Amino acid sequence: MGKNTPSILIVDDEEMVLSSLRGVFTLQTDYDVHEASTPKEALSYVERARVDVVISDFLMPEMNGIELLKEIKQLQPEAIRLLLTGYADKENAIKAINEVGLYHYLEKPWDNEALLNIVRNALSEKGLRQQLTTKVRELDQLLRQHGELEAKHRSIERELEMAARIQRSLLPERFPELSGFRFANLYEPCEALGGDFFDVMEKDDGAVLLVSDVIGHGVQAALTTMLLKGVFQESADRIDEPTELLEEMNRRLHAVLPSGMYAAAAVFYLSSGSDHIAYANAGLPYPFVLRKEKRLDEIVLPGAPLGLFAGNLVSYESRQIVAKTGDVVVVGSDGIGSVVAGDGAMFEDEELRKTLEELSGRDGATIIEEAMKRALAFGNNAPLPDDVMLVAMTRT
Amino acid sequence: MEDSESPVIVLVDDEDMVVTSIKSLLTLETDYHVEGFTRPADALEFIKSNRVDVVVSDYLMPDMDGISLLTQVKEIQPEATRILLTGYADKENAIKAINDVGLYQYIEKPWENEDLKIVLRNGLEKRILLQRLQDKIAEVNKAHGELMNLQKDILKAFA
Repeated sequence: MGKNTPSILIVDDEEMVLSSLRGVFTLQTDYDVHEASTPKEALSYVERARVDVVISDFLMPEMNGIELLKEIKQLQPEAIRLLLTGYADKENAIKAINEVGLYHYLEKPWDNEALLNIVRNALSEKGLRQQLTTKVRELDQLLRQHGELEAKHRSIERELEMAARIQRSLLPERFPELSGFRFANLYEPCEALGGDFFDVMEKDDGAVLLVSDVIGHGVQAALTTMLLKGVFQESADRIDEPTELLEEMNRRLHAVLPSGMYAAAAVFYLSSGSDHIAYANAGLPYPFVLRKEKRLDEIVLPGAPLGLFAGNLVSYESRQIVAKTGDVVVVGSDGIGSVVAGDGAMFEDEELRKTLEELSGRDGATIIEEAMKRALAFGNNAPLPDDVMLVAMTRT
Repeated sequence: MEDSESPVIVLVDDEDMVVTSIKSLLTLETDYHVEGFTRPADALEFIKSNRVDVVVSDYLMPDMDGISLLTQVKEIQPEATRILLTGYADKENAIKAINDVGLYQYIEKPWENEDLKIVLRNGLEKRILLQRLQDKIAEVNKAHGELMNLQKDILKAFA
Protein backbone atom coordinates (compact mmCIF):
# COMPACT_ATOMS: atom_id res chain seq x y z
CA MET A 1 0.00 0.00 0.00
CA GLY A 2 1.46 3.29 -1.14
CA LYS A 3 1.85 6.23 1.18
CA ASN A 4 -0.55 8.32 -0.88
CA THR A 5 -3.20 5.66 -1.30
CA PRO A 6 -6.37 6.93 0.41
CA SER A 7 -7.25 5.03 3.54
CA ILE A 8 -10.91 4.25 4.26
CA LEU A 9 -12.37 2.87 7.44
CA ILE A 10 -15.84 1.30 7.36
CA VAL A 11 -17.69 0.59 10.58
CA ASP A 12 -20.86 -1.50 10.80
CA ASP A 13 -22.06 -4.25 13.15
CA GLU A 14 -23.60 -6.14 10.24
CA GLU A 15 -21.10 -8.29 8.41
CA MET A 16 -23.20 -8.13 5.25
CA VAL A 17 -22.92 -4.35 5.04
CA LEU A 18 -19.17 -4.50 5.63
CA SER A 19 -18.63 -7.04 2.93
CA SER A 20 -20.73 -5.27 0.34
CA LEU A 21 -18.96 -1.94 0.99
CA ARG A 22 -15.63 -3.72 0.87
CA GLY A 23 -16.70 -5.22 -2.45
CA VAL A 24 -17.52 -1.83 -3.98
CA PHE A 25 -14.26 -0.19 -2.93
CA THR A 26 -12.04 -3.14 -3.73
CA LEU A 27 -13.52 -3.59 -7.19
CA GLN A 28 -13.80 0.03 -8.24
CA THR A 29 -11.02 1.91 -6.42
CA ASP A 30 -7.44 1.50 -5.26
CA TYR A 31 -8.23 2.71 -1.74
CA ASP A 32 -6.88 0.94 1.30
CA VAL A 33 -10.01 -0.45 2.94
CA HIS A 34 -10.11 -1.19 6.67
CA GLU A 35 -13.08 -2.62 8.56
CA ALA A 36 -14.35 -2.56 12.10
CA SER A 37 -17.45 -4.36 13.35
CA THR A 38 -17.66 -2.44 16.63
CA PRO A 39 -17.10 1.22 17.50
CA LYS A 40 -14.44 0.17 20.01
CA GLU A 41 -12.50 -1.62 17.33
CA ALA A 42 -12.86 1.44 15.09
CA LEU A 43 -11.52 3.80 17.75
CA SER A 44 -8.57 1.58 18.48
CA TYR A 45 -7.73 1.62 14.76
CA VAL A 46 -8.04 5.41 14.45
CA GLU A 47 -5.79 5.80 17.47
CA ARG A 48 -2.91 4.10 15.72
CA ALA A 49 -3.32 4.70 11.98
CA ARG A 50 -4.07 7.60 9.64
CA VAL A 51 -7.50 7.48 7.98
CA ASP A 52 -8.78 9.77 5.26
CA VAL A 53 -12.45 8.82 5.26
CA VAL A 54 -14.58 7.06 7.90
CA ILE A 55 -17.97 5.63 6.95
CA SER A 56 -19.94 4.57 10.00
CA ASP A 57 -23.31 2.94 10.51
CA PHE A 58 -25.71 4.81 12.80
CA LEU A 59 -27.34 2.07 14.89
CA MET A 60 -24.80 -0.09 16.66
CA PRO A 61 -25.06 -1.80 20.07
CA GLU A 62 -22.38 -0.09 22.20
CA MET A 63 -22.29 3.39 20.78
CA ASN A 64 -24.20 5.04 17.96
CA GLY A 65 -22.49 6.28 14.79
CA ILE A 66 -22.80 9.96 15.65
CA GLU A 67 -21.02 9.50 18.98
CA LEU A 68 -18.36 7.40 17.29
CA LEU A 69 -17.72 10.00 14.59
CA LYS A 70 -17.60 12.71 17.26
CA GLU A 71 -14.82 10.82 19.05
CA ILE A 72 -13.00 10.19 15.79
CA LYS A 73 -13.07 13.91 15.15
CA GLN A 74 -11.15 14.40 18.39
CA LEU A 75 -8.55 11.84 17.36
CA GLN A 76 -8.15 12.87 13.72
CA PRO A 77 -9.81 16.21 12.97
CA GLU A 78 -8.82 16.12 9.30
CA ALA A 79 -10.51 12.76 8.62
CA ILE A 80 -13.70 13.15 6.62
CA ARG A 81 -16.70 11.51 8.26
CA LEU A 82 -19.77 9.94 6.58
CA LEU A 83 -22.80 8.47 8.27
CA LEU A 84 -24.71 5.44 6.96
CA THR A 85 -28.30 5.47 8.12
CA GLY A 86 -31.62 3.72 7.81
CA TYR A 87 -34.60 5.77 6.69
CA ALA A 88 -35.96 5.96 10.24
CA ASP A 89 -32.83 7.65 11.56
CA LYS A 90 -32.56 10.28 8.89
CA GLU A 91 -33.65 13.12 11.14
CA ASN A 92 -30.82 12.32 13.54
CA ALA A 93 -28.35 12.10 10.70
CA ILE A 94 -29.31 15.52 9.37
CA LYS A 95 -29.00 17.04 12.83
CA ALA A 96 -25.59 15.49 13.23
CA ILE A 97 -24.39 16.96 9.96
CA ASN A 98 -24.60 20.40 11.44
CA GLU A 99 -23.76 19.56 15.03
CA VAL A 100 -20.83 17.25 14.55
CA GLY A 101 -19.67 18.59 11.17
CA LEU A 102 -20.26 15.45 9.12
CA TYR A 103 -19.45 15.64 5.43
CA HIS A 104 -22.45 13.66 4.18
CA TYR A 105 -24.96 11.00 5.13
CA LEU A 106 -25.95 8.00 3.03
CA GLU A 107 -29.29 6.27 3.24
CA LYS A 108 -29.45 2.51 3.29
CA PRO A 109 -29.78 1.01 0.75
CA TRP A 110 -27.21 3.21 -0.92
CA ASP A 111 -26.44 3.68 -4.57
CA ASN A 112 -22.89 2.54 -5.29
CA GLU A 113 -22.18 5.23 -7.87
CA ALA A 114 -23.45 7.96 -5.59
CA LEU A 115 -21.38 6.57 -2.70
CA LEU A 116 -18.22 6.43 -4.80
CA ASN A 117 -18.74 9.97 -6.04
CA ILE A 118 -19.28 11.32 -2.54
CA VAL A 119 -16.14 9.59 -1.26
CA ARG A 120 -14.18 10.87 -4.25
CA ASN A 121 -15.33 14.44 -3.55
CA ALA A 122 -14.54 13.98 0.13
CA LEU A 123 -11.01 12.87 -0.67
CA SER A 124 -10.50 15.74 -3.07
CA GLU A 125 -11.67 18.21 -0.43
CA LYS A 126 -9.24 16.71 2.07
CA GLY A 127 -6.47 16.94 -0.54
CA LEU A 128 -7.27 20.61 -1.14
CA ARG A 129 -7.14 21.30 2.59
CA GLN A 130 -3.78 19.60 2.82
CA GLN A 131 -2.38 21.58 -0.12
CA LEU A 132 -3.69 24.75 1.45
CA THR A 133 -1.99 23.94 4.76
CA THR A 134 1.27 23.27 2.92
CA LYS A 135 1.03 26.58 1.06
CA VAL A 136 0.22 28.50 4.22
CA ARG A 137 3.27 26.97 5.87
CA GLU A 138 5.41 27.72 2.81
CA LEU A 139 4.23 31.33 2.84
CA ASP A 140 4.97 31.70 6.55
CA GLN A 141 8.45 30.40 5.98
CA LEU A 142 9.07 32.75 3.05
CA LEU A 143 7.81 35.72 5.02
CA ARG A 144 10.06 34.80 7.93
CA GLN A 145 13.05 34.47 5.61
CA HIS A 146 12.15 37.79 4.08
CA GLY A 147 12.09 39.42 7.51
CA GLU A 148 15.45 37.97 8.45
CA LEU A 149 17.00 38.95 5.16
CA GLU A 150 15.61 42.47 5.45
CA ALA A 151 17.20 42.85 8.87
CA LYS A 152 20.48 41.61 7.44
CA HIS A 153 20.10 44.00 4.52
CA ARG A 154 19.64 46.93 6.90
CA SER A 155 22.70 45.96 8.91
CA ILE A 156 24.76 45.58 5.72
CA GLU A 157 23.60 49.01 4.58
CA ARG A 158 24.63 50.51 7.90
CA GLU A 159 28.05 48.88 7.58
CA LEU A 160 28.40 50.04 3.99
CA GLU A 161 27.56 53.57 5.06
CA MET A 162 30.27 53.38 7.70
CA ALA A 163 32.70 51.99 5.14
CA ALA A 164 31.77 54.77 2.72
CA ARG A 165 32.54 57.34 5.40
CA ILE A 166 35.95 55.75 5.94
CA GLN A 167 36.55 55.63 2.21
CA ARG A 168 35.73 59.32 1.79
CA SER A 169 38.19 60.10 4.54
CA LEU A 170 40.91 58.49 2.39
CA LEU A 171 40.49 61.19 -0.25
CA PRO A 172 42.78 64.15 0.39
CA GLU A 173 41.09 66.82 2.49
CA ARG A 174 42.60 69.60 0.42
CA PHE A 175 44.96 70.03 -2.45
CA PRO A 176 48.42 71.38 -1.71
CA GLU A 177 49.12 75.09 -2.08
CA LEU A 178 51.30 74.89 -5.14
CA SER A 179 52.42 78.04 -6.84
CA GLY A 180 51.17 78.18 -10.45
CA PHE A 181 48.40 75.58 -10.00
CA ARG A 182 44.81 75.46 -8.81
CA PHE A 183 43.11 72.08 -8.33
CA ALA A 184 39.48 70.98 -8.38
CA ASN A 185 37.82 67.58 -8.19
CA LEU A 186 34.47 65.88 -8.50
CA TYR A 187 33.62 62.45 -7.09
CA GLU A 188 30.29 60.62 -7.53
CA PRO A 189 30.30 56.94 -6.54
CA CYS A 190 27.36 55.12 -8.15
CA GLU A 191 26.89 53.04 -4.98
CA ALA A 192 27.79 53.68 -1.35
CA LEU A 193 31.31 52.46 -1.98
CA GLY A 194 33.32 53.32 -5.06
CA GLY A 195 36.31 52.11 -7.00
CA ASP A 196 37.40 55.55 -8.24
CA PHE A 197 40.09 57.18 -6.22
CA PHE A 198 42.63 59.98 -6.26
CA ASP A 199 45.38 61.09 -3.94
CA VAL A 200 47.96 63.80 -3.89
CA MET A 201 51.27 64.06 -2.09
CA GLU A 202 53.40 67.15 -1.53
CA LYS A 203 56.97 66.48 -2.45
CA ASP A 204 60.03 68.76 -2.47
CA ASP A 205 58.86 71.90 -4.25
CA GLY A 206 55.98 70.20 -6.00
CA ALA A 207 53.35 67.46 -5.78
CA VAL A 208 52.54 64.01 -7.12
CA LEU A 209 48.93 63.36 -8.17
CA LEU A 210 47.47 59.85 -8.48
CA VAL A 211 44.16 59.29 -10.29
CA SER A 212 42.85 55.74 -10.43
CA ASP A 213 39.88 53.54 -11.19
CA VAL A 214 39.72 50.08 -9.61
CA ILE A 215 37.81 47.45 -11.62
CA GLY A 216 34.23 47.04 -10.40
CA HIS A 217 32.57 48.93 -7.59
CA GLY A 218 31.33 48.09 -4.13
CA VAL A 219 33.20 46.42 -1.32
CA GLN A 220 35.94 44.70 -3.36
CA ALA A 221 36.83 47.85 -5.24
CA ALA A 222 36.72 49.97 -2.07
CA LEU A 223 39.13 47.65 -0.26
CA THR A 224 41.49 47.80 -3.21
CA THR A 225 41.47 51.62 -3.18
CA MET A 226 42.68 51.49 0.43
CA LEU A 227 45.53 49.24 -0.59
CA LEU A 228 46.28 51.54 -3.49
CA LYS A 229 46.52 54.57 -1.23
CA GLY A 230 49.03 52.83 1.04
CA VAL A 231 51.17 51.67 -1.87
CA PHE A 232 51.05 55.11 -3.50
CA GLN A 233 51.95 57.04 -0.34
CA GLU A 234 54.83 54.77 0.48
CA SER A 235 56.23 54.59 -3.08
CA ALA A 236 55.75 58.20 -4.18
CA ASP A 237 57.61 59.37 -1.11
CA ARG A 238 60.86 57.88 -2.35
CA ILE A 239 60.41 57.75 -6.15
CA ASP A 240 60.91 60.93 -8.19
CA GLU A 241 59.91 59.73 -11.64
CA PRO A 242 56.44 58.70 -12.99
CA THR A 243 57.37 55.51 -14.92
CA GLU A 244 59.35 54.17 -12.01
CA LEU A 245 56.47 54.96 -9.65
CA LEU A 246 53.94 53.04 -11.78
CA GLU A 247 56.32 50.09 -12.17
CA GLU A 248 56.85 49.90 -8.43
CA MET A 249 53.11 50.16 -7.73
CA ASN A 250 52.35 47.49 -10.34
CA ARG A 251 54.91 45.13 -8.87
CA ARG A 252 53.55 45.51 -5.35
CA LEU A 253 49.87 45.38 -6.29
CA HIS A 254 50.36 42.33 -8.49
CA ALA A 255 51.93 40.56 -5.53
CA VAL A 256 48.92 41.15 -3.25
CA LEU A 257 45.78 41.59 -5.37
CA PRO A 258 43.69 38.47 -6.07
CA SER A 259 43.96 37.42 -9.71
CA GLY A 260 41.61 39.37 -11.95
CA MET A 261 41.62 42.47 -9.72
CA TYR A 262 43.39 45.47 -11.14
CA ALA A 263 43.35 49.26 -11.20
CA ALA A 264 43.78 51.74 -14.02
CA ALA A 265 45.86 54.70 -12.85
CA ALA A 266 47.77 57.75 -13.99
CA VAL A 267 50.40 59.78 -12.12
CA PHE A 268 51.39 63.40 -12.59
CA TYR A 269 54.55 65.07 -11.21
CA LEU A 270 54.07 68.81 -10.86
CA SER A 271 56.70 71.40 -9.90
CA SER A 272 55.97 74.75 -8.39
CA GLY A 273 55.57 77.38 -11.10
CA SER A 274 56.60 75.04 -13.92
CA ASP A 275 54.83 74.64 -17.30
CA HIS A 276 56.00 71.03 -17.51
CA ILE A 277 54.05 68.16 -16.00
CA ALA A 278 55.60 64.69 -16.13
CA TYR A 279 52.91 62.10 -16.75
CA ALA A 280 52.74 58.28 -16.98
CA ASN A 281 49.67 56.17 -17.57
CA ALA A 282 48.54 52.67 -16.52
CA GLY A 283 45.36 52.26 -18.54
CA LEU A 284 43.38 55.31 -17.43
CA PRO A 285 41.49 57.32 -20.10
CA TYR A 286 43.84 59.86 -21.69
CA PRO A 287 43.95 63.29 -20.08
CA PHE A 288 42.77 66.35 -21.99
CA VAL A 289 44.46 69.72 -22.03
CA LEU A 290 41.92 72.52 -22.53
CA ARG A 291 43.93 75.36 -24.02
CA LYS A 292 43.26 78.94 -23.10
CA GLU A 293 42.85 79.75 -26.79
CA LYS A 294 39.89 77.31 -26.96
CA ARG A 295 41.56 74.23 -28.32
CA LEU A 296 41.47 70.66 -27.00
CA ASP A 297 44.51 68.38 -26.88
CA GLU A 298 44.27 64.72 -25.90
CA ILE A 299 47.52 63.25 -24.50
CA VAL A 300 47.57 59.72 -25.92
CA LEU A 301 49.68 57.34 -23.84
CA PRO A 302 48.68 53.66 -23.53
CA GLY A 303 49.81 51.44 -20.64
CA ALA A 304 48.81 48.25 -18.83
CA PRO A 305 46.65 48.64 -15.69
CA LEU A 306 48.27 48.09 -12.30
CA GLY A 307 48.27 44.65 -10.74
CA LEU A 308 47.24 42.67 -13.80
CA PHE A 309 50.66 41.51 -15.03
CA ALA A 310 53.82 40.49 -13.20
CA GLY A 311 56.43 43.23 -12.77
CA ASN A 312 58.92 41.80 -15.28
CA LEU A 313 56.29 41.87 -18.06
CA VAL A 314 55.31 45.53 -17.74
CA SER A 315 57.09 48.80 -18.34
CA TYR A 316 55.69 52.31 -18.71
CA GLU A 317 56.54 55.38 -20.77
CA SER A 318 56.22 58.95 -19.68
CA ARG A 319 55.22 62.15 -21.48
CA GLN A 320 55.79 65.80 -20.70
CA ILE A 321 52.58 67.81 -20.74
CA VAL A 322 53.15 71.49 -21.38
CA ALA A 323 50.51 73.64 -19.71
CA LYS A 324 50.77 77.42 -19.93
CA THR A 325 48.87 79.96 -17.85
CA GLY A 326 45.12 79.57 -18.49
CA ASP A 327 45.42 75.97 -19.68
CA VAL A 328 43.53 73.26 -17.77
CA VAL A 329 44.46 69.57 -17.58
CA VAL A 330 41.39 67.37 -17.01
CA VAL A 331 41.77 63.69 -16.09
CA GLY A 332 39.38 61.12 -14.65
CA SER A 333 37.99 57.62 -14.65
CA ASP A 334 35.94 56.30 -17.58
CA GLY A 335 32.77 56.97 -15.54
CA ILE A 336 31.70 60.20 -17.22
CA GLY A 337 32.25 58.73 -20.68
CA SER A 338 30.15 55.64 -19.93
CA VAL A 339 26.91 57.60 -19.46
CA VAL A 340 24.51 56.21 -22.07
CA ALA A 341 21.84 58.14 -23.97
CA GLY A 342 18.40 56.75 -24.84
CA ASP A 343 19.58 55.78 -28.33
CA GLY A 344 22.51 53.74 -26.95
CA ALA A 345 25.19 56.34 -27.74
CA MET A 346 27.84 56.87 -25.06
CA PHE A 347 28.94 60.28 -23.79
CA GLU A 348 32.56 59.47 -24.65
CA ASP A 349 31.73 58.77 -28.33
CA GLU A 350 31.53 62.43 -29.37
CA GLU A 351 29.88 64.54 -26.69
CA LEU A 352 32.72 64.48 -24.16
CA ARG A 353 35.28 66.06 -26.51
CA LYS A 354 32.75 68.53 -27.91
CA THR A 355 31.76 69.59 -24.37
CA LEU A 356 35.34 70.03 -23.18
CA GLU A 357 36.30 71.98 -26.27
CA GLU A 358 33.38 74.32 -25.67
CA LEU A 359 34.37 74.74 -22.02
CA SER A 360 38.03 75.44 -22.69
CA GLY A 361 39.23 78.83 -21.54
CA ARG A 362 37.24 78.58 -18.32
CA ASP A 363 38.39 77.67 -14.82
CA GLY A 364 38.98 73.98 -13.95
CA ALA A 365 36.27 73.78 -11.26
CA THR A 366 33.65 75.21 -13.62
CA ILE A 367 34.73 72.87 -16.42
CA ILE A 368 34.31 69.61 -14.50
CA GLU A 369 31.04 70.67 -12.88
CA GLU A 370 29.57 71.75 -16.21
CA ALA A 371 30.85 68.60 -17.97
CA MET A 372 29.15 66.44 -15.32
CA LYS A 373 25.86 68.33 -15.71
CA ARG A 374 25.92 67.83 -19.47
CA ALA A 375 26.76 64.12 -19.10
CA LEU A 376 23.79 63.62 -16.77
CA ALA A 377 21.48 65.48 -19.17
CA PHE A 378 22.87 63.35 -22.02
CA GLY A 379 21.80 60.24 -20.05
CA ASN A 380 18.34 61.74 -19.29
CA ASN A 381 19.36 62.06 -15.62
CA ALA A 382 19.27 58.30 -15.16
CA PRO A 383 21.33 56.87 -12.24
CA LEU A 384 25.06 56.72 -13.02
CA PRO A 385 26.18 53.39 -14.49
CA ASP A 386 29.65 53.71 -12.96
CA ASP A 387 31.58 55.81 -10.45
CA VAL A 388 32.53 59.21 -11.83
CA MET A 389 35.68 61.03 -10.81
CA LEU A 390 37.30 64.04 -12.44
CA VAL A 391 40.32 66.11 -11.42
CA ALA A 392 41.17 69.45 -13.02
CA MET A 393 44.56 71.15 -12.75
CA THR A 394 44.35 74.81 -13.77
CA ARG A 395 47.65 76.46 -14.61
CA THR A 396 47.54 79.95 -13.09
CA MET B 1 -27.76 45.43 -4.33
CA GLU B 2 -26.56 42.03 -3.14
CA ASP B 3 -23.85 41.58 -0.57
CA SER B 4 -20.78 40.71 -2.68
CA GLU B 5 -19.59 38.33 0.05
CA SER B 6 -22.53 35.93 -0.14
CA PRO B 7 -22.03 32.90 -2.43
CA VAL B 8 -23.73 33.06 -5.82
CA ILE B 9 -25.71 30.01 -6.94
CA VAL B 10 -27.11 29.78 -10.47
CA LEU B 11 -30.15 27.58 -10.92
CA VAL B 12 -31.35 26.43 -14.35
CA ASP B 13 -34.51 24.42 -15.00
CA ASP B 14 -37.09 24.80 -17.76
CA GLU B 15 -39.81 24.19 -15.20
CA ASP B 16 -40.52 27.41 -13.41
CA MET B 17 -41.84 25.52 -10.41
CA VAL B 18 -38.53 23.77 -9.80
CA VAL B 19 -36.62 27.05 -9.97
CA THR B 20 -39.07 28.77 -7.67
CA SER B 21 -39.14 26.06 -5.06
CA ILE B 22 -35.35 25.62 -4.83
CA LYS B 23 -34.89 29.36 -4.81
CA SER B 24 -37.29 29.86 -1.94
CA LEU B 25 -35.72 26.99 0.01
CA LEU B 26 -32.25 28.47 -0.31
CA THR B 27 -33.37 32.03 0.32
CA LEU B 28 -35.12 30.98 3.51
CA GLU B 29 -32.50 28.63 4.91
CA THR B 30 -29.13 29.87 3.64
CA ASP B 31 -27.32 33.12 2.98
CA TYR B 32 -26.73 32.23 -0.69
CA HIS B 33 -27.64 34.62 -3.41
CA VAL B 34 -29.67 32.62 -5.93
CA GLU B 35 -30.12 33.50 -9.62
CA GLY B 36 -32.79 31.37 -11.26
CA PHE B 37 -33.23 30.83 -15.04
CA THR B 38 -35.67 28.81 -17.14
CA ARG B 39 -33.63 29.25 -20.36
CA PRO B 40 -30.05 27.94 -20.54
CA ALA B 41 -29.07 30.78 -22.90
CA ASP B 42 -30.06 33.38 -20.27
CA ALA B 43 -28.05 31.52 -17.64
CA LEU B 44 -24.96 31.50 -19.90
CA GLU B 45 -25.39 35.20 -20.53
CA PHE B 46 -25.39 35.81 -16.78
CA ILE B 47 -22.38 33.56 -16.15
CA LYS B 48 -20.38 35.34 -18.83
CA SER B 49 -20.50 38.61 -16.94
CA ASN B 50 -20.83 37.62 -13.27
CA ARG B 51 -18.71 35.61 -10.92
CA VAL B 52 -20.62 32.48 -9.85
CA ASP B 53 -19.74 29.83 -7.28
CA VAL B 54 -22.08 26.94 -8.01
CA VAL B 55 -24.23 26.15 -11.07
CA VAL B 56 -27.11 23.67 -10.66
CA SER B 57 -28.73 22.62 -13.93
CA ASP B 58 -31.59 20.34 -14.90
CA TYR B 59 -30.66 17.65 -17.41
CA LEU B 60 -33.66 17.53 -19.76
CA MET B 61 -34.47 20.95 -21.23
CA PRO B 62 -35.87 21.80 -24.68
CA ASP B 63 -33.15 24.18 -25.97
CA MET B 64 -30.02 22.65 -24.55
CA ASP B 65 -29.41 19.68 -22.23
CA GLY B 66 -27.85 20.22 -18.83
CA ILE B 67 -24.60 18.45 -19.65
CA SER B 68 -23.92 20.72 -22.64
CA LEU B 69 -24.80 23.73 -20.54
CA LEU B 70 -22.46 22.72 -17.72
CA THR B 71 -19.73 21.93 -20.25
CA GLN B 72 -19.97 25.51 -21.49
CA VAL B 73 -19.98 26.81 -17.92
CA LYS B 74 -16.68 25.00 -17.43
CA GLU B 75 -15.21 26.95 -20.36
CA ILE B 76 -16.39 30.28 -18.98
CA GLN B 77 -15.70 29.81 -15.27
CA PRO B 78 -13.63 26.66 -14.68
CA GLU B 79 -13.52 27.20 -10.90
CA ALA B 80 -17.31 27.12 -10.48
CA THR B 81 -18.70 23.88 -9.03
CA ARG B 82 -21.20 22.23 -11.39
CA ILE B 83 -24.10 20.04 -10.27
CA LEU B 84 -26.64 18.18 -12.43
CA LEU B 85 -30.30 17.74 -11.49
CA THR B 86 -31.68 14.63 -13.08
CA GLY B 87 -34.71 12.35 -13.24
CA TYR B 88 -34.25 8.70 -12.38
CA ALA B 89 -34.33 7.66 -16.04
CA ASP B 90 -31.30 9.82 -16.91
CA LYS B 91 -29.10 8.64 -14.08
CA GLU B 92 -26.78 6.72 -16.38
CA ASN B 93 -26.05 9.87 -18.37
CA ALA B 94 -25.44 11.81 -15.20
CA ILE B 95 -22.93 9.27 -13.91
CA LYS B 96 -21.14 9.30 -17.24
CA ALA B 97 -21.01 13.10 -17.22
CA ILE B 98 -19.42 13.17 -13.78
CA ASN B 99 -16.39 11.50 -15.27
CA ASP B 100 -16.50 12.95 -18.78
CA VAL B 101 -17.23 16.58 -17.98
CA GLY B 102 -15.94 16.69 -14.42
CA LEU B 103 -19.26 17.40 -12.74
CA TYR B 104 -19.14 17.67 -8.98
CA GLN B 105 -22.25 15.62 -8.25
CA TYR B 106 -25.73 14.83 -9.48
CA ILE B 107 -28.95 15.18 -7.53
CA GLU B 108 -31.88 12.97 -8.31
CA LYS B 109 -35.37 14.32 -8.80
CA PRO B 110 -37.35 14.40 -6.65
CA TRP B 111 -34.67 15.76 -4.40
CA GLU B 112 -34.64 15.94 -0.64
CA ASN B 113 -34.12 19.45 0.57
CA GLU B 114 -31.56 18.44 3.18
CA ASP B 115 -29.64 16.46 0.61
CA LEU B 116 -29.63 19.36 -1.80
CA LYS B 117 -28.36 21.67 0.91
CA ILE B 118 -25.52 19.30 1.87
CA VAL B 119 -24.42 18.89 -1.74
CA LEU B 120 -24.48 22.65 -2.27
CA ARG B 121 -22.61 23.28 0.96
CA ASN B 122 -19.89 20.79 0.03
CA GLY B 123 -19.69 22.03 -3.54
CA LEU B 124 -19.32 25.57 -2.30
CA GLU B 125 -16.67 24.51 0.19
CA LYS B 126 -14.70 22.96 -2.65
CA ARG B 127 -15.00 26.18 -4.67
CA ILE B 128 -13.80 28.26 -1.71
CA LEU B 129 -10.92 25.91 -0.96
CA LEU B 130 -9.82 26.06 -4.61
CA GLN B 131 -9.96 29.85 -4.54
CA ARG B 132 -8.00 30.06 -1.30
CA LEU B 133 -5.44 27.64 -2.66
CA GLN B 134 -5.00 29.73 -5.79
CA ASP B 135 -4.67 32.88 -3.70
CA LYS B 136 -2.06 31.24 -1.49
CA ILE B 137 -0.12 29.99 -4.51
CA ALA B 138 -0.09 33.52 -5.89
CA GLU B 139 0.99 34.90 -2.51
CA VAL B 140 3.75 32.31 -2.25
CA ASN B 141 5.00 33.17 -5.73
CA LYS B 142 4.94 36.87 -4.95
CA ALA B 143 6.79 36.39 -1.66
CA HIS B 144 9.30 34.22 -3.44
CA GLY B 145 9.91 36.88 -6.08
CA GLU B 146 10.35 39.59 -3.46
CA LEU B 147 12.81 37.42 -1.59
CA MET B 148 14.83 36.91 -4.79
CA ASN B 149 14.91 40.68 -5.43
CA LEU B 150 16.07 41.36 -1.91
CA GLN B 151 18.83 38.79 -2.29
CA LYS B 152 19.87 40.44 -5.55
CA ASP B 153 19.97 43.85 -3.84
CA ILE B 154 22.21 42.49 -1.12
CA LEU B 155 24.53 40.74 -3.57
CA LYS B 156 24.85 43.95 -5.58
CA ALA B 157 26.63 45.61 -2.67
CA PHE B 158 29.43 43.08 -3.02
CA ALA B 159 29.61 42.91 -6.82
